[in-house]
Amino acid sequence: MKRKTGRVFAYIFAAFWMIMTIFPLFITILCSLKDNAGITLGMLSLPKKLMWSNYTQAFESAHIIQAVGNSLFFAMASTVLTIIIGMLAAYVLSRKKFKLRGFIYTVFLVGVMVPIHCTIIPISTLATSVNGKNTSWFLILVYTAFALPQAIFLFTGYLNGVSKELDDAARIDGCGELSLLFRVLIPVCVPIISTEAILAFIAGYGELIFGMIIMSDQDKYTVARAMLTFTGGYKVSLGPIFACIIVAVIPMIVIYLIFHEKVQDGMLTGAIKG
Amino acid sequence: MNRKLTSKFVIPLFLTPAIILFVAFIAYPVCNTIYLSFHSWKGIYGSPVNFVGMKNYLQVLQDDAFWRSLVNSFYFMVGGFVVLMPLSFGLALLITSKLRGTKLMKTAYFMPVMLSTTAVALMWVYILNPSFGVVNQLLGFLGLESLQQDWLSTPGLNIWCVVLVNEWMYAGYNMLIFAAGLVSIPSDVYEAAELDGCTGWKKLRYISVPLSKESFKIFSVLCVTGCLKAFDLVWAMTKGGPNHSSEVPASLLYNEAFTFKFFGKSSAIGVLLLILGIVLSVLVNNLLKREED
Amino acid sequence: MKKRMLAAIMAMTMVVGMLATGCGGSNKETSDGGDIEITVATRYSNDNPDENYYREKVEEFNALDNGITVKMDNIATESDYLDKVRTSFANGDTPNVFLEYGGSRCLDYLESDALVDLKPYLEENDNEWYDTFYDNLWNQCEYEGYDGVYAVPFKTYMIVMYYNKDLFTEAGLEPPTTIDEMLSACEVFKSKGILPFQTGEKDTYRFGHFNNNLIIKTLGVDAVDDLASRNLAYDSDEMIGTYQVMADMVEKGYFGDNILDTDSATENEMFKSGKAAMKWDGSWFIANDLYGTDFYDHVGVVAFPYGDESCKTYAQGGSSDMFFVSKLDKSEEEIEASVEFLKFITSPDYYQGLDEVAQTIVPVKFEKSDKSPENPLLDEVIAIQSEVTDMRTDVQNYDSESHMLDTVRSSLQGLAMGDSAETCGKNIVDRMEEYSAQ
Repeated sequence: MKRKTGRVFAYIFAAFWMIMTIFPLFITILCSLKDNAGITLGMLSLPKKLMWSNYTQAFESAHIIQAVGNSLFFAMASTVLTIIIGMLAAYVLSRKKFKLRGFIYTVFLVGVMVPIHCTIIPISTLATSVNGKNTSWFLILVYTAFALPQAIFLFTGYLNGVSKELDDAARIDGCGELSLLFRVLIPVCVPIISTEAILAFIAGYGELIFGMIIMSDQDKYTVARAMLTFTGGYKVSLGPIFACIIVAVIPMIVIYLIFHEKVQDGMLTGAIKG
Repeated sequence: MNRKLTSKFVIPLFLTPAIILFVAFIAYPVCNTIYLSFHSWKGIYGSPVNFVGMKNYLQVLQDDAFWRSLVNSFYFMVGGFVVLMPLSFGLALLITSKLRGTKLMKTAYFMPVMLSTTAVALMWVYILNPSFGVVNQLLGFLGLESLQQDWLSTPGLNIWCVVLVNEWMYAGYNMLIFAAGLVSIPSDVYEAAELDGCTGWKKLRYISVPLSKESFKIFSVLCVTGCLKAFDLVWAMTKGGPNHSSEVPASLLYNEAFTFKFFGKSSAIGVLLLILGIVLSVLVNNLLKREED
Repeated sequence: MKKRMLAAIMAMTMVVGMLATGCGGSNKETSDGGDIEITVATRYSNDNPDENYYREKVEEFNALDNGITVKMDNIATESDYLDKVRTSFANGDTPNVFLEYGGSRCLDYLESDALVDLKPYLEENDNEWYDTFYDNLWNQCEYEGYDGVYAVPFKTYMIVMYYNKDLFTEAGLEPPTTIDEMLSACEVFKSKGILPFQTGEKDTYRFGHFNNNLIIKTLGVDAVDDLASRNLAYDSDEMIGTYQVMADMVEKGYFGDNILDTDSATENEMFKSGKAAMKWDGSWFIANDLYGTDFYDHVGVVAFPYGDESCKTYAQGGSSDMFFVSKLDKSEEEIEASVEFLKFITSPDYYQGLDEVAQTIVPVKFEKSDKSPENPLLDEVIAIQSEVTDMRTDVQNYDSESHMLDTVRSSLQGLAMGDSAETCGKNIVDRMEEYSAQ
């Protein structure tokens, strides 16, 4: 009896919050089909006339497809790097005992606190001095570097919760360091890896400042920069901005769902925590 | 081959890539910020960088605007622990539960983050608009005219509106962190508990929450540091206004450097934020550790 | 299984990467080695006739056989644009030519010897280039204590008063010429339940411009110079008088409802949907929001009302956008190429073509071609402009302190929050003191 009320309550809350969070999607879709007057004077009303031209503008003026392609590439590459590099570091920080361990871990932690605007000028200087301006690899490294501290933080925390008995068993089976990490620990860490993959991907995909400072060529614009096409000095075209957002959000939803399935899979394998 | 990798090599080998990236993109800028915080600089290559000692710090610390902005980021933290933490933990419980429709739920809950700050900020600004926004219309419809407010332009109230929008937006984000912890709780623990008659709230209290302590720790640190850096949403919703009433430290830092070109003063704010972030994270960590004992 | 997934992601990444770079690779220009490449940073990335025209003309310039290739770096939003320009100056990797707004914000560049003096180029061939511009614009391109001309005007503007003809006729009112007439018109509209203005003060430049006009058209252009040289204080009686006008208007609701929650985009739409009777704004409003709409015929325009007869022919206006040439780490050839580009982009030909697609007031004298469409509203603005004897742009632009624009505008925003005129003046002066402790 009690369980049932709990369940009903859970469903009600789940539905309530779903409405709270899904309606922006509908508003964004609505707004992507309206002109400025329609948006500013009645954001929630239905469009009087469907402005498909907003999408034409998004495709033709902002080259949104190309921008989505660029952002996908930058975000995916940096996500992959973040996970590999982050896992390597987290493994050492969680499993090895050495003098500077605590210090290194704390220093990495500082990385999550740095205000972004303090880093723009030094990083841009660095980009100039290593010929990294207007290159994809440099931007990918920047994204990786900024996602890394959080990744190390999350991975180390998670690995600390994974029983060391697992390592011992693996070692008895003759596993070396690499195979211990890749064959034994990484599969156990799938939930947190997928989670960080989502977070790192989202961060890279929507990033504006570095994408803008480092890249100058239009064919390397990121999504956020392409959307600036419609924000001017004394005039903003809101409709096309919303159209860009809709186009950009589709690949993101797909990737999110793919990765979050992996988190769920962790539920089945996750029987090893001590 | 693998077996030859002994601990001695593994430690530096595995840490090197992370350290290189960290030094180049985070440590170097931080050192640069610390250096500049003791100097005055107009931000032009080749223009003189003059040593001014503690002057920038004194100036920041004597500036009312800085303290006001800190109070505002403190509100962010309060909101983070009082609203965001229970909310995202609750959502994590939902999406990892055996309820139906979890796939739809988790897509919906994460939607605000995916739609980008630009879109959600713009939307909330219109929803909170006193003349034709939904919130005031709803209050009027319910006969609660006295509760109608100028949500985003009343000093003191506006920052709370931004805080709540922030919690609404990032509930899904933190949900993922909690969910990752929840899914790793072995199912046999639950089964054993259920056999002991531990269900519903009891299960939550004696199993889910205690076994998620690592996630709570992670959340706390990310929340504290995130609140100190909060910028995008504030900038998009109020630009720190009206008349600087919703300014946060990061927006001050931004303005000092990129609008007024006082790079020294801006760097001093940056260093103070870093110190505060470290102190608060250590504090939070110790607090949580004490609870463990 | 996991490995396969990792491999799949890697492969996907690579494919997307190749697509991304592939798309780009195709339209990369094949530069034939000898070309000098210069970068030009502007905010003209919008999809509107005026900025599309700019980009077309740059492409046209690149197609010329002059050994120069221009690389554009356009970022529309002001704060983002400034992020990039300021960062580039901080690490010395500046664009060759860049857009800025003059005044104190560019003084630092000059102090650090980062700008090219354009005077020698302007004076070549008996002032050939110099003479194509209107004379009254040069004061914004010169700095006290520095010889030379450091910018060329590219866009000009003037703040005028637009009004809704229908609403004025219905109310039996004439468009206002003085501040008092404006205030009494406000009263009439207010009593009829029509919004006199609907100000988008969420964007602080709205009150900023209004106050500029009160200063210029009540205290005169000299007051602007006196404010900059500190001979006139921001909390002096004269200045408090200007805040008082605004404070009263706020109190009586003349500026509209919930102005702090209204942004300029909403203000524009409110005026265009006939909900507000008047609107002060730049000459850009015609091309951006009125031209080609049904509402165009319902709008009239007059000069911003004056407060003192002697200031009747003054106006807020001047160059809004100016081009500067950087000499940080730049070769002589690059500077020559930059000047060459500027000459092209400020030629009468350029503006003649611009007039055919997007009409506004411009800094250069040119012959209208017969392809230019009719635009009576703009003709009105040009007529108003021809009466003007002296102009100043944003008052704080002449100040030596770069924080002043923000300081004054934020304090003016305080008026909309219920601050008294005295508090407003005090806020400005207090903030100035905090900064002068620097």
